[in-house]
Amino acid sequence: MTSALRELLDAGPRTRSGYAFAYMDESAKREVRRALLKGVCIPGHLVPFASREMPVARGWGSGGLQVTLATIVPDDVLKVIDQGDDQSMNAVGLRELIAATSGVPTTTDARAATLIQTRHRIPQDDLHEGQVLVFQIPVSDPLRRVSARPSVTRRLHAEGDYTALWLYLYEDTAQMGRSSFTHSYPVRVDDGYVMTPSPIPRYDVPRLHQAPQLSLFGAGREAAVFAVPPYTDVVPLAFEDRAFEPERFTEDCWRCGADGSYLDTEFVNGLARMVCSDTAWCARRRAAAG
Amino acid sequence: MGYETVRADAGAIAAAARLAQPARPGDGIAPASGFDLAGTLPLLVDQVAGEAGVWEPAVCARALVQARGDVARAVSLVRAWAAMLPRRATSRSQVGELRTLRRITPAFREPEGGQYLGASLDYAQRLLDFDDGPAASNGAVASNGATRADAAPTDRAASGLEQIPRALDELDRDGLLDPGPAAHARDGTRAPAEANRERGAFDQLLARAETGALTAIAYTSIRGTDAAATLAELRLGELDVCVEHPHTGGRVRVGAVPATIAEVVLYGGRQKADGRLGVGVGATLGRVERRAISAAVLDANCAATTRDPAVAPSPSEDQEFLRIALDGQEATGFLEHLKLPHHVTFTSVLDRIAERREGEEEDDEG
Amino acid sequence: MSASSTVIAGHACFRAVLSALAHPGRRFALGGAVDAVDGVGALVGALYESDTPICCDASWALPFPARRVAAEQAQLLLLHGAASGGALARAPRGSEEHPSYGATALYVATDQPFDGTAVALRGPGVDGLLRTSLALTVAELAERATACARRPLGVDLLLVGADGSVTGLPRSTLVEVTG
Repeated sequence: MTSALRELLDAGPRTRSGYAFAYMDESAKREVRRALLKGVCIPGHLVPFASREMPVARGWGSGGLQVTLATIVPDDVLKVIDQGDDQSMNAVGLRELIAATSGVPTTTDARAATLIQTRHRIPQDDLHEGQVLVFQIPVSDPLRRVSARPSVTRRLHAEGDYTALWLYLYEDTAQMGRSSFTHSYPVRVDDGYVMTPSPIPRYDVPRLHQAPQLSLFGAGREAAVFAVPPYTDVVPLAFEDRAFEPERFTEDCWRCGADGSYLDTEFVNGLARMVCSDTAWCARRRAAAG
Repeated sequence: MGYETVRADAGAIAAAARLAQPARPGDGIAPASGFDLAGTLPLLVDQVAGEAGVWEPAVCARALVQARGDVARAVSLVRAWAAMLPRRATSRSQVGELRTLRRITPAFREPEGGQYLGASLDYAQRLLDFDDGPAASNGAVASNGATRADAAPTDRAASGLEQIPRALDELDRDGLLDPGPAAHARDGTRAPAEANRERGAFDQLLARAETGALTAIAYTSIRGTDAAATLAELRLGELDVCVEHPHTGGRVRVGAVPATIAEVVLYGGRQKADGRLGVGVGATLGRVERRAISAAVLDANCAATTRDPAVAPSPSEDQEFLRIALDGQEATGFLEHLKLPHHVTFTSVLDRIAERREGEEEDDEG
Repeated sequence: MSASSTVIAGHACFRAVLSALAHPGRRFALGGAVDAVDGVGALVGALYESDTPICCDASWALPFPARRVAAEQAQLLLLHGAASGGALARAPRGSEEHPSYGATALYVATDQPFDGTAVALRGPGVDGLLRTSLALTVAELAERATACARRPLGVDLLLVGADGSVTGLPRSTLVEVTG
């Protein structure tokens, strides 16, 4: 056994500060960066990249993590959420890893963050120009339900052939009067590619249209990234005479009283209550109300 | 029903990690200090090394301990560690350079160069042994590849057998083999998947594939519907790792890795018979032989050039399907990701169901 | 520069290029770059590999010895000034299935003063309409329009200014020459 390896094995608990800035080696970062730049130039297009092994499992945000680590700068202020919650287990682990290897300060306030990594939600606060929103993507291709084969779907995207998706929509509408698509609602970007907006609820989809922030999407397991620049058209697929429908809530937030935010169910003293999914936004409203 | 996020507020996440840590030595749960995992469970360590695609038994053993024995998690740890190491050089080896410690040719009774059983558990009975004494006489394996049952002298076992010709060479010379598309050695982990559709990159994927998945799909292939597979040759031994000397430019051996290489031939089945045998090669780091054999079966099936394109491929013939199914890290990661909170998306699903039921009720009333 | 400050400079550089392509026509500082030469070195080091096929002449000082190829095979084109002498027209534009294989062309300001062409920009990254000036000749903008005519195929442009700033012009931007 070489002495270098012996040192490694005999060393005590490895301190996070022993890692390179933002953990990844430089060639891994460059690989993601090249793919992201092309993604920004071709909105909504799935750009393949050599996805590196990360210290989080595939399917647990390794793609979003690679995007964040390649993009972060020391001046950033980082927010990480999962299901809208900064304290969710997935968010905590990722935030600790990113902050420990980059040294950037973290926040739960979406207005103060410059780089936000998220799973399954857009923060309730309106975002502004200059912010970067990184989405964790499980299934990267909106045509996955049409074919499991990337060779087939790549061809369909190339030809702009989204007939199968429209057929699904039509059958649903004909049978049920409405689409059965729930989250991950397919959207057309810049009147070009159809893309998945990630498993955000339908409620969040309209907020991508002509948004002021840059949206980056990372799929580590499927080894692809895509992007929506600011001020870009993002339109959910819908028939002209059948309006796109977000989720409906019949109650206000039980905690802060907001009407119109996306809600989760929480048990409080044995009773089910509807509360804001964006926990930091909700807490701030409660604090402001005194 | 409520769907609460698992939150870090009360330190739940940190507590879970603490509880999962190995207990202190001496309480009968943790391995005692000095426990030699690589020596006692070499094939388990080999499996981790094979799936990680990294030969470093000490690190693989450590990963197994840290992962509490979960192979998939151990492979994750090793791969993540290796991914950030600098790539210093590339070493190229030929199969013929393998210092062979074990060689069998099921297809041929008396191949040129002979057969050597080497160290293998294949010939031991599968009787659970409760005797705690020294290794029983039914052929226990030792980590350096030598056993009492093996008549080969120690120095021969250490140096490997002399150059043995490939068992299929004669059939090759007679024009009976159809090897299929050429495979070019390349590192597919450093290129996007798009660039990895040719055979060499696919074979690398097979070499690092998840053991259970490899076995399951290769099994479905050989149990009858696909072409009949015969194992032509299995070699186990050590491959030298050589780099170019920075001054002289000469080839310098810097180490060796144990490897297992299998060659399989295919005949008949769903392919149009054209009188030639398809050939597949499979390999793995370490000594878990079914990894190499399964890989060879799948490589042969996917490379078969005589497949009827009008017939849908079975999973073992479908390279695109196999690329998805065989990566253990992708599979286990995504499967286990189901444990992450999904209540936002589930709320969205329930919303749709509720609306649909309302719609049906309205229809009923109307 | 120490290893870690090079790394951090690389992050700043990438972020500037990302912002430039996300906001076409606007200028972003390339980290600590003080001039165009500085900027190009930092940019290439942050994004490309020693085996990236680059179309450039021998005058460029890059962080690694470049693998120099003709424009037709290049992933990156390094160009002096406001025009490419036909290289842009020959650069790869990607394919229908892989539009991302289209090249990136980097125009780097020289000592020659150049007034820039007045343009109006529209498209992704532009809030409505943006009137500005780009350091590209009218003829070069016409070449770009041809190269990017069959969306989503095309070549993406980056302009490095004499002050070490970077401006982006992705293929998705609609450019109208106004001046």
